[in-house]
Amino acid sequence: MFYRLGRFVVAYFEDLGKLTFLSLRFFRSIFSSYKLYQKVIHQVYMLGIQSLPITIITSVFIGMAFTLQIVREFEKFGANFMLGGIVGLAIWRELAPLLTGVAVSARIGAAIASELGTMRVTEQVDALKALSQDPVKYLVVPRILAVMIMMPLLVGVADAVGFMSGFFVGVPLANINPNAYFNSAITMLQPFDIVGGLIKALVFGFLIGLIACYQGLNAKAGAKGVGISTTRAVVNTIIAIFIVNFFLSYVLF
Amino acid sequence: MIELCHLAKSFDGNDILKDVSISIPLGKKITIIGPSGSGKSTILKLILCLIKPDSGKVLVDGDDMALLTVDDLYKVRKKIGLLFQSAALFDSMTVEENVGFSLFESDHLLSQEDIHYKIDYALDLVEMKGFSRMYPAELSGGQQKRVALARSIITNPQYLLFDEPTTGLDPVLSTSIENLIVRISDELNTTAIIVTHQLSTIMRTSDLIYYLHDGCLCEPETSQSINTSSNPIISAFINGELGT
Repeated sequence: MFYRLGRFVVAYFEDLGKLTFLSLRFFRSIFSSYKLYQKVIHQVYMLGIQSLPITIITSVFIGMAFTLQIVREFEKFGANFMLGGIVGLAIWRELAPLLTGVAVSARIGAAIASELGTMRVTEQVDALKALSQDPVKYLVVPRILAVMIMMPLLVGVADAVGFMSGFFVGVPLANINPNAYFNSAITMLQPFDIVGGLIKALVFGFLIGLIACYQGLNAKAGAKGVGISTTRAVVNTIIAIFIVNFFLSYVLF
Repeated sequence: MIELCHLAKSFDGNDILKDVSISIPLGKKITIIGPSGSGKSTILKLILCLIKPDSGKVLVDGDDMALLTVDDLYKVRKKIGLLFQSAALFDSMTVEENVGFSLFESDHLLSQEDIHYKIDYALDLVEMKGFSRMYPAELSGGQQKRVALARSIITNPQYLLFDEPTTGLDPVLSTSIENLIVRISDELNTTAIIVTHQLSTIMRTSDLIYYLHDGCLCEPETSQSINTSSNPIISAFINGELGT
């Protein structure tokens, strides 16, 4: 049992070390990657645009469900006039970045890990190296940058959609003036509540891209290996997002 | 010149290569033979530094591959072309994009017209000129190997490495790939290292033949002498008495 525990701990810190090394190589390679602009735009289109539907659906239903709960509780205290502010606070600071992060992990993280994993097991990554191309510059940098660009945009959409779905559910249920919903948001919230959420999105985008690329490039041979690396990418990214979210919330707000 | 000095490599505690030393003369076609799993492909990966040796060193024109910085390593790799056993074509790219990959992705002074001329020339050499718009999945195994060969020669490398170039192909395709290897190596005046266990490939393409046995290379044979080799292990391999 101690042997297995020891192996787990060693493997964990080995992974953490390799992940840190990959992130350092990412930052070092950003300015020396060839035709980076085209590759990033391509990845933004391939990965980001296709994530829009899942982001909208998630934020619509989270906005509605959250508002539903809040209205019922606030009615007891006669605090319905605060609805817009509370919905905005929860969505902009926490729910939109966090849930978009989870949705994008499942959508983009899995796509990146499985694509790079397949390239790895079919020797395409070795072929890149043999053709004098650094896989970090060619595969990792454009993907991480693309996710880092897309995440704040997607969270911006989730902010708007989530807040407005709260409006459409909350105003009739709470029986308040539509203007009161927006006024409470203006009174209670600061621009940094949105900016802070977007900063979180940027960090989550980096984590999603980094962990997915790392798992993909370290996939073991065969279809099973690609499956395992894809699952690990999604699970590890979601765990990392929840942990980092706590510390970012503590520091930012 | 490529020199391997006392190379050793193990995987999961299994010693695959124990002491491999060889100097490969310029312009020669060297074949390394041996049973499956004996470490032939590992030697090619060590030469390109796709994996690092446990001990020993690989020198390419005097540069120790394991000691080079990442940027210098990629510069040295430009001198070497590798044909993978699986072809390893980029499946999201067309034949044309695969073949021209090194040129599209490097900071050089070639115009798009020059690049396309080079692609056409390389595809012409491997007799795949009409396939430039197709994707790897639409090609047969032999065609994929031809395209991979075109990809590996487009930058005029000094050294060409072939990993099981004819494995899995029918005799007609095997012969055509073997002829291609000889023709391209001669036309481009490259040093070729071929790893195989196919007897026809050994006979048609090799100046010198090394047998990999128990992690070490035996004394070299030629395609004329190998059939009458005094080494009992090589004789057994040639006569099909050792597993491939």
